Amino acid sequence: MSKAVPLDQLKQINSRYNIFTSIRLPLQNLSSDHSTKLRASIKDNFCTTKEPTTCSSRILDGYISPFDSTVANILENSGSTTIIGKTNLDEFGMGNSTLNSHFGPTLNPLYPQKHDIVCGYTENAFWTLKNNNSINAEILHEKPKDPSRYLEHRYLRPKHRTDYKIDPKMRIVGGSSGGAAASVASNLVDFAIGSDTGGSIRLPACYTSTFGYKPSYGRISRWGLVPYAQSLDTVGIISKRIELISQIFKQLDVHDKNDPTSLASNKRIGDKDRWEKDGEKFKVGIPIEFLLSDMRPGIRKVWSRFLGLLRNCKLIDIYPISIPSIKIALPAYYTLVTAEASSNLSRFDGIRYGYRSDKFSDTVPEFTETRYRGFGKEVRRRIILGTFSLSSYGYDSHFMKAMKLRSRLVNEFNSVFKDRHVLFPNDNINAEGVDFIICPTSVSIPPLVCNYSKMRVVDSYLNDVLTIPASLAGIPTLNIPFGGESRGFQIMAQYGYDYKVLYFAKKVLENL
Amino acid sequence: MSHQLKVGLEIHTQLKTARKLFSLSHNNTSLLSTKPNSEVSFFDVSLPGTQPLLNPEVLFCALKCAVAMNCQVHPESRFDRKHYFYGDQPLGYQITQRYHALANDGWVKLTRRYDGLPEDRKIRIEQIQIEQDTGRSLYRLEEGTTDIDFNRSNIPLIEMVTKPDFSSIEQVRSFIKKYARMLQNLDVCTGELETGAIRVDVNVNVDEHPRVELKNIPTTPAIVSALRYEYTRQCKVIESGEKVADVETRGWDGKKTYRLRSKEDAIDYRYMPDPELPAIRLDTEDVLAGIKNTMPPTIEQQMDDLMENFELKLRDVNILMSNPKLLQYYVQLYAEVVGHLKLENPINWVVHDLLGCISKSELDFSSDILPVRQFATLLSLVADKTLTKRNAKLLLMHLVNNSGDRNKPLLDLVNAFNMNSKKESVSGDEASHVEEICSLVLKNNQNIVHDIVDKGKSGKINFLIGQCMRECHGKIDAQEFRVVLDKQLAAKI
Repeated sequence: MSKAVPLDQLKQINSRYNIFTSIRLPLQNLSSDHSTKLRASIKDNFCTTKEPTTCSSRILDGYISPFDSTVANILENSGSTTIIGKTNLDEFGMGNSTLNSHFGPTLNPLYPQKHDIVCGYTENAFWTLKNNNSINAEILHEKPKDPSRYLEHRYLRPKHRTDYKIDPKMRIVGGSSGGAAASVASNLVDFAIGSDTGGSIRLPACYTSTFGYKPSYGRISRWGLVPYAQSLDTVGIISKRIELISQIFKQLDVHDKNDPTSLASNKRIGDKDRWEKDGEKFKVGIPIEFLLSDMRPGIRKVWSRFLGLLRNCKLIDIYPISIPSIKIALPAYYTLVTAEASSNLSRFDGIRYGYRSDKFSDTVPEFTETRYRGFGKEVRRRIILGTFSLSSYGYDSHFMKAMKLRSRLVNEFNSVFKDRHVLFPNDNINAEGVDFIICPTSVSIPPLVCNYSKMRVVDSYLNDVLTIPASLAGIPTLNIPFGGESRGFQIMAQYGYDYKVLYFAKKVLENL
Repeated sequence: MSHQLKVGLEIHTQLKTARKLFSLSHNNTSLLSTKPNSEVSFFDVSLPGTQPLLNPEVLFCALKCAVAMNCQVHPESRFDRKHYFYGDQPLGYQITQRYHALANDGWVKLTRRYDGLPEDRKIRIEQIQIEQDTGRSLYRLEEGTTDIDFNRSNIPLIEMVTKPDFSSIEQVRSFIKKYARMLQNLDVCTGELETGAIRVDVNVNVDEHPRVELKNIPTTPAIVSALRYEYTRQCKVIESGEKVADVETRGWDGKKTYRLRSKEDAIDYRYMPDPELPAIRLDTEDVLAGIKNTMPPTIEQQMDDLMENFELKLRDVNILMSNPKLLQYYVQLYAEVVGHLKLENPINWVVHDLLGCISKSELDFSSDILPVRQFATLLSLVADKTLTKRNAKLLLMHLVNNSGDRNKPLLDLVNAFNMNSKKESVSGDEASHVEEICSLVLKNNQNIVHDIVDKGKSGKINFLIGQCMRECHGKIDAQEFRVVLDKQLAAKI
């Protein structure tokens, strides 16, 4: 446990970098009985009952969920973790910068920022009936007459300046779990819970020089995670300490009957003391398709140095491998992810919860107006893209094609590993296959905020080119910081071999 | 007009599972007393972060239907999303099965024998799929608002689509009746069209012209009327040399069909495979054998069995089969009356007399209306001539309408009403007694006699018989009066 930060200091740091969308009160810290507890933040696209769940979108502004996500439940019931607040993200997870938030941008704590983004805090409270799980139970926003029947929830909500200045040398924090990574990087928490659809944990972890772990798809329950693209969404952990990631992963690695994609208990490969045979080295594959032309020479150099170090200390052998479909991963990913998003976000019509425009005309129904005003520009763009892919014009030529490319990519990844894919027990295994793939997390260090904002949208999507393949394949992948500020590398393994990745990361650190 | 009619049906059926399709809330829509939005879980109103979980009972019910309709059940089927915005569609899409349905390629046979058609006809079933029902919109026209009740949201439906194999309206009517009965028999649906448990859309065309879809027609009689109207309308359009609008959707206002939408404003539903619901994988050989074991005998088998075991006419069997409670009642009564008391088959007493009394009194059948034992006693009293048939029928009517007397000893009632033919048995001079009464009645009803004798209204004799029965307090059989009255009237011509 690192030293707990008092509320004033937390507010001060948060005001600079705009990390939290809400901060729980009272802040659990300092007093000795809590000093043994781990402090955690949770991304604001996980449902919690103690503060709003907004997905950093206007359309869910002030929405309070009547139930907790499985992840929040496990952590709070463990007795060893305190959640101190919820972190900012690119609206609904759509972005890789955490600049696309209804609640202002999150900045990268590794870089100095002289001005505050947040100008103050409002203290909010609401009351919910004790022991009530009814959908019709009201949430009170004023103190009830018989408080004994109610639970009181208090939280701080940041107020954002309209005229904030961002330091010209400020670099993006990455996204979409930018708030999560920033909460770890600025030592406000011991670990952060985030979600990763195409790199949303690994990229900000890389940009903030922290460990960011995206487990195998289905390994941690998604119940209560507001979906962006369910076939890719995963729950993961960011921390400065690899042992802590292992510890929290072990806690969260349980089957959840509420999540239809939760991996069955008998398919969960457990932890082992050691994963290598005596005298054997780990085989590491380097897919030639990751040697991208637009990778900065600096990054490529650090990659070589990293691999060289590991080889010199007799931990690994290196093999060039080929996964041809990596080349088409980016367009396949953006086709699928936007299609799923356009479908998932169609429930936000303002009728049952969240923001409602109250404006309509004879030609424009209210839900259209609500969605136009409630969603940010990037979200609207992705909904439109996805709507096209699913339309009768785009279905075969775009959506189905992307589906096929994805299954080809899954098979190619499967065939390069020597371990057996948990979900394809009948496939032949490749005895000559590799244990891990190692590649950079990003093609460059994070762009300057001022440059990123000017970038063409499609060019900004290219930042995801190294993280997307593992998302499409659903395989466990860890960002491990190496090579200086905002640089990191991904360790990938066969689907289901989550503990093997964590074990290997520990070995790597011992040898660096 | 001799244009060839061609019809296909698309039927949505609510399955009566205990819980909803993808959530744990109760499936209570058939109860009209359920308070709006009281049977709603987080998933049913699509709260962010909720996920669907398939209720296996739905699969069980749907498989029974697929087997009953001789379909090919697929070892793997999947769920898809059908997108459209509507206030009572909380997800913004409906979870259904489009690309990989549960079952395809079945058939249902309509027959001369059981369905009363002029000839047998096989109706091919194209597809059976599982899908969600929507919520219900209640339009408040004065306020210009809409209330939404999500109790129906996420109730399991099966959508069944037939091939366009119907060539007459009569076939359509028989099919709907047969389908509803079949699902009742399988115990998977209430079988009611009126409550919306079964909803029928009709595709109709004439002579290979473009088809028209008729939607939201509430009852079988309405479907028949709408089809008749639409057939005539399309024939007229064709004969006038115009074209039938391509793939038009029409509604029914009770008198005529009217356009709802045409091809130009068709919706692009943007179907996509659901990205999180797992495929349904079945070891079909094993599962279907198990399903078949749980299935009751088919309606036709049951009808055959009834005809054989109880020596019944098809017409009576049809009446019994239309109400499972009635059938059960009859079977019990039969066991008592024929098995125990060795009397005649009570079928006519049940379908004519008992049901006649019940419908005259505008009641619904229930086995409490006349306990089986009481009915059997009544019939035994008729058999041993304690009661005349006529009095027995009067007593039956009395029991149906006076619930307080239903369980009283029957003989006491017979005596109290002075109906006991044995107690004051008609003496040796019964014949002259009958003659006497008849003469009296004819004398007191000259108008009626005039009607019968001079105007030939022979049916009015029943009135006179009734008067005679009254005179003798029902102690003499009506048939005896008829003979004597006939004789006396004949003498007056």
